[in-house]
Amino acid sequence: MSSKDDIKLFISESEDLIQKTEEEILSFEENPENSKPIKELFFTFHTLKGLTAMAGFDNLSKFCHHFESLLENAKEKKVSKSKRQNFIGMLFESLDVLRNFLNRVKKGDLSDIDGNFVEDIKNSFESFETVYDITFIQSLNQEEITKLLNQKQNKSFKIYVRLEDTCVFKKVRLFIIFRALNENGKICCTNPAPEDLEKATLRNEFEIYYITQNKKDKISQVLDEILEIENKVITPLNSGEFKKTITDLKEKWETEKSESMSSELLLDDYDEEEDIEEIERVSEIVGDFSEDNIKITSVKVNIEHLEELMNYFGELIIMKNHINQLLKKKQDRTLVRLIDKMDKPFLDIQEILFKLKLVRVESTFRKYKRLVRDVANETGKKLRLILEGTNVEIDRKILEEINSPLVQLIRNAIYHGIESPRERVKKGKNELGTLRLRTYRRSGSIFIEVQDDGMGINYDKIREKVVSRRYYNSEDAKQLSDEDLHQFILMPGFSTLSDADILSGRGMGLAIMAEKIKELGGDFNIQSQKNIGTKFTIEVPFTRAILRAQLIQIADDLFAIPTENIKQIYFYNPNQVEYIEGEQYYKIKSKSLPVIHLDEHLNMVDKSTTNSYKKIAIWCQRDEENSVVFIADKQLQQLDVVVKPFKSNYSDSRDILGSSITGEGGICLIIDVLSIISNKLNENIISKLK
Amino acid sequence: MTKNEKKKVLIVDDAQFTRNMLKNIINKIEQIEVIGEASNGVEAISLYKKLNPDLVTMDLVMPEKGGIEATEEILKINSKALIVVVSALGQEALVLEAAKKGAKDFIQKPFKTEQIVEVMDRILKIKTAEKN
Repeated sequence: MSSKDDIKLFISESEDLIQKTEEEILSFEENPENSKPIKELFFTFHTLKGLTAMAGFDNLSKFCHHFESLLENAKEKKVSKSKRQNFIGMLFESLDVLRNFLNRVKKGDLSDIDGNFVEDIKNSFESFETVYDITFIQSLNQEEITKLLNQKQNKSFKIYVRLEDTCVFKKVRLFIIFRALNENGKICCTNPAPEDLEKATLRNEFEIYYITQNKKDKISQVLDEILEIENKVITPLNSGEFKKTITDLKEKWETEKSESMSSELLLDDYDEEEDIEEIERVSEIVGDFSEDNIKITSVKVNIEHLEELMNYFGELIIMKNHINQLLKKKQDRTLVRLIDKMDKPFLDIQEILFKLKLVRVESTFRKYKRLVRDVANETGKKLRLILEGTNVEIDRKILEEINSPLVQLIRNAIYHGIESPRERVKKGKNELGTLRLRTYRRSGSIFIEVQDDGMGINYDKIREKVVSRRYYNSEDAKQLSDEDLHQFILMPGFSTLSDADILSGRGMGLAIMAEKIKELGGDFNIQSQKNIGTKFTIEVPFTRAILRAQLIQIADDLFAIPTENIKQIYFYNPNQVEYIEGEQYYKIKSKSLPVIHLDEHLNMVDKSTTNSYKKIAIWCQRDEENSVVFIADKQLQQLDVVVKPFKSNYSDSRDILGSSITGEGGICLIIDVLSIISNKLNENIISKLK
Repeated sequence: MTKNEKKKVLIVDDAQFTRNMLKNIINKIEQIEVIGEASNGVEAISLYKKLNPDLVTMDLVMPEKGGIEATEEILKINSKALIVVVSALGQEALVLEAAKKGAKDFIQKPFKTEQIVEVMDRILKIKTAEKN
């Protein structure tokens, strides 16, 4: 491959195809009778084959080729039920191979995959192909067996066979044994069932129920010619015994099958219509194609180019701010009017740039179907995943960032929320659990709810933990509200010590997750009710690239506060300050709001030029209930700032959202209001608790 | 067939080394002799026609014509031909295919002397005393 751009294009195209593949596998799994996904898969792999070959990854291309052949076979012959799980598992595993490869390429490692590995895959496919298209034997039904038994001279036997432990090609061995026996009689049934025998070749011993005209000695001779049989026992059965044994066996398998079925996962088919739409759209395009009449409604853009564009635009905004300020000093009306006119196109561009960065949450959330499927299989839970609001759009960066918290929440919900099917039935619930992932937009934020209808948070257990860890004595612990207890769950280190059945179990758990959300300037909320379920709500900002901000001065330094967080700005009046239990509060209207002196908070007290400025009080709000008042030194102008991620030495960099350049070219830090409010309120809660 | 007459074996394998090993083992068995060696499927078929052996050991992956095709064609010449596949590990699919085409049995490389002797024992029924 020649250039970096080619590689990037290769990666992005491959990723799309892989994602598509995964969806197709899932849809095949959901509805195996429908052969359409297999056909789609076949074409997807065909495309992947060409793509990887063009990119010069010969082995990878071969790898895809083998897939293609495998699917071509499957397209013609239906995959039998007993082989299906295996078949699907194989497709999934090989997808992982492709993903790993791409990840490697992304890191700059352009070496092809190992050729030997591809050979192995090919071999395993070959064996798989033969596995699913041949059936050595089939169980006969009652009628057929009776008919055979009624034929003169026919005798029935149970043959126990044990293979040598060293036997490697068990399938072939089985085939040879069955073939030899069927040449001289008829196999009516086996134990384990024929389809399990062919699949699970792990077993070295099995029983064959066999009808033949031959005597026991002859059967023995037939088997003696076959290698790798360690032991055999041939027992004559009378026809009554013979039939009963087979009937009993079949009954046993039926019950086993229905039990294992219940551990299978059912996925909601919520998006079937969408899929159909998509396919129709594709066929429309294909249709148009013949008429040379394609309308291309979207183009692929390299995400890095987009980022660059944002940055350049950001610089333009800064320059424009600067010009604005210079113009205020001069008195050139025409220029001022012209610059004011520029505001409109600037805003328009900003809006479009902003939209460009948006993606539907669907692109990521659809992957959770696979996750849910895997985790449900792991845990033996039975549930469906309902995705709502998948067409909500969100900043791609933020979507990437919330992926791992969401995965964590989903795993948690399945592991610790949803009960086992048996338990659910006992509780009178639908044995099929529901996991709902709901996304919606409200003001500047995206809300994502992960809601299960499981057992709910065990608050008593958390109280016990609170007591045993000596945060409270048992009396006081009883007074703690659910909300208070959530604070403990989210306390780093608390959940790691909690019992697995409380909530997290996986150590890192919710504390880190909540931390991550807060880093994003988001928020996190828990609601839970015993036996009804738990709802986690993640709130993240829609975007964070360009913000309207209020410039303020603290000591000699410039800071900015996003205007969306500001409710009101007042001149600071010391008489409005009151002390409650040693904490400062600021009275605004009939409310008393916690006070944060930004100079203290940001460790700038010693630099402060005391009270030479008339200070300001900024009322900032997280939501209706949660506000604080920031005290700063001076209010300056408002402007659009381009947020750059920031690491700082200022007290706690968690309090800083990022940095930006002011019109004059100075650097200002953007205060992360939401994070400060959250921390302050937590502090207050914890100090109140103590 | 009189008791003195030895059973005839044709060895098919593209590796001289493997052929030699097989030949050494088989020739040590009193009642059997190796009457021919082929290094590919085409040779195997023509030698089979010429020599009419009692048993063929068949490698699967060979140049010119592979073991599966050779097995198929030999069985067309003589439907009762006894063909034992000698295959490498990891070729289960191929071995199964050969078995489906009519190969009598199979052993895996690397094989042990006893295994070869056992195959001959069982399939050519050299030792008359079968323990039932």
